[in-house]
Amino acid sequence: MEVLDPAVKSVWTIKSILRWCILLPVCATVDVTFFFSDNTTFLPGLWTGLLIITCSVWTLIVPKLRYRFWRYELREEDLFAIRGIWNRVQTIVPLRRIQHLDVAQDLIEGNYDVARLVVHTAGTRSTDVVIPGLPYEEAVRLRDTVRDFVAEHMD
Amino acid sequence: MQEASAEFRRLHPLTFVHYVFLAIIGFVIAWTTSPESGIQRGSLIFSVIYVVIMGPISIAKYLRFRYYVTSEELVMHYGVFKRIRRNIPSDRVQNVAIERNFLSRILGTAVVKIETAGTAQAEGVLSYVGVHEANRIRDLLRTAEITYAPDESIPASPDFRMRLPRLLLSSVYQFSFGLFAILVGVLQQLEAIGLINIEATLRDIFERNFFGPANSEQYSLVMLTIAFILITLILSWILGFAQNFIRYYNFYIELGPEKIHRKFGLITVREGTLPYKRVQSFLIRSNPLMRLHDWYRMEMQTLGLESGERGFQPAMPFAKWAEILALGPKIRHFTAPEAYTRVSRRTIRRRCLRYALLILAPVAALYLWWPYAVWGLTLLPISWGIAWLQYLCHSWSFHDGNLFIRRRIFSQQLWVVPIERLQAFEINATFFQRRLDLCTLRVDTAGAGVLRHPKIVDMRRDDAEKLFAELYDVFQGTASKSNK
Repeated sequence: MEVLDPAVKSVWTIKSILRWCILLPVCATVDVTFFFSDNTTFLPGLWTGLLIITCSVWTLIVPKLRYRFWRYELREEDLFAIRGIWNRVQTIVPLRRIQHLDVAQDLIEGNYDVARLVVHTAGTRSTDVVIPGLPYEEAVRLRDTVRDFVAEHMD
Repeated sequence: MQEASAEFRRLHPLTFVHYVFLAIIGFVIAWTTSPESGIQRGSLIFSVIYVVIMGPISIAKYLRFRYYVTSEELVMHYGVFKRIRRNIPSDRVQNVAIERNFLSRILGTAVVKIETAGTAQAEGVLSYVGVHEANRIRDLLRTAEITYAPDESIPASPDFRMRLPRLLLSSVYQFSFGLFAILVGVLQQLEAIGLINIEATLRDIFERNFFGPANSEQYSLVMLTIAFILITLILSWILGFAQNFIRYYNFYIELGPEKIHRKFGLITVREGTLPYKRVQSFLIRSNPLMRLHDWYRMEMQTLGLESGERGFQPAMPFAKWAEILALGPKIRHFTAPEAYTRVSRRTIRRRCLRYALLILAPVAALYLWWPYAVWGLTLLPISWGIAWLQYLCHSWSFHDGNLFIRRRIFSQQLWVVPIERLQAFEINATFFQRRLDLCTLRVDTAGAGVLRHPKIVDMRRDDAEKLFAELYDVFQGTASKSNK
């Protein structure tokens, strides 16, 4: 079984911080409003503080665990993936069921030179099986291998 | 190019009548739901803005929409702000459905829906065209092997047909808690805007029928609530009856040499052909009462998503088990398994814990304000009861190339999933399941709903791995067969 590129941990860490930051304006507004009102129910800066603590704990733990539990393997006729911290998921996607393939990379991933391989099937639940954190060349190589298989076995 | 554009057609001019009709419905809803004080101004301003903006857009939309059909392809040019040209080659077309609702039947128009094997969105919709034009399009795209005239002759011997007595009987069984919930919501909304007064009406009924006006203290709010629930239950049953009757009126399904032909509906007549290869799996539904009298509903899960059917299309809305076993295998081969295997007994423990938490959380929260909430704990045995019933109702069987999965206590489901149709295989194990050495086995078929899909919950880990390997083995077998 293959493991992901360790650089993906950094990508996930940055994304996790960004995601938690969405809540920052809300918490900050609440805190500032309470600070200037007569209401003394909450400690000043309570919500922002809580957010920062949750964000730090989450960001320190989750990307590492997620990385540790991610395994994938391109086998002869299928793509096999195991992942998940809380909900451990083990998926087999038969290669001949693949409809189309994408190699995706966003700005943060580009910075660390990792990419995602997105595998689309006609199914609904596991329509998009995404293998994140592959080195870019590896993702392209995987895509080409799968593409060749699909082209060979399709009529 | 010049020649092609000469063939371009516009939609039926009466399309505008449909637009106007929709707008009127919108206005009525806007007017009736707006708060009383704002009725005069707010809704009027809204309506004027709507007309000023949507009027020209509708006209532009109509003028921009052009299409032509040849036996090779359907070409559509449309879009006001974003101009789109869509070509659908006719060999990619999986299904051409013609839909006519009440208004289009008066106006002689129809909606033509062209479904392809791609994603659910990549479909062509022509709303609205004339009936003859609709038939011409369907014939040109050659999905119908035989030309079916929508309004005239009904085939002499359809393979399954809902006659009136059976339709009435099937409607009697239609009670859904979903409809009940919607109705309660609607009634409360109506009360909120002041159209009805539930409490006063119920008190009035009570006074007239059961107690004299003098004894109005004899009944409490609890009794009124019970009466409200009872009346709503009866109303939702009547609605369910009507809905079923209207939807499946004159249902027939006919199995042609290559395609399945169906037609049904009272107000909106749905008609369509469906190639056999598009059927992905079966879902046979029932409920304890229907099952007692040996009644089932069989649905086919298909690739495209026909609106309102969520990818599940009725094959037999109401049939005996023997009838299903007679017709179903003609669409896709299966034989009924003799025995089903239950999932692990430990599922009771896990489910019980989950439902207990669902009861405990609100009880604990309520207890802070209202000490009597502690009596809510008496509900706890229910969680065990439900868990146990769910265990009894959940079983599976792998038989003759099909995976059979039974689920649910009330709206019972029996999935029949042909192995060669599977798209992906998955084993899930949540934190709690791992503690109990359990897992969930999911199989994915093309076009399955997100809410309704086949899965076996809480199998023992070893059993799941074994079945997983076995299913995949058989799947690979069918693969090598179909490749040769």
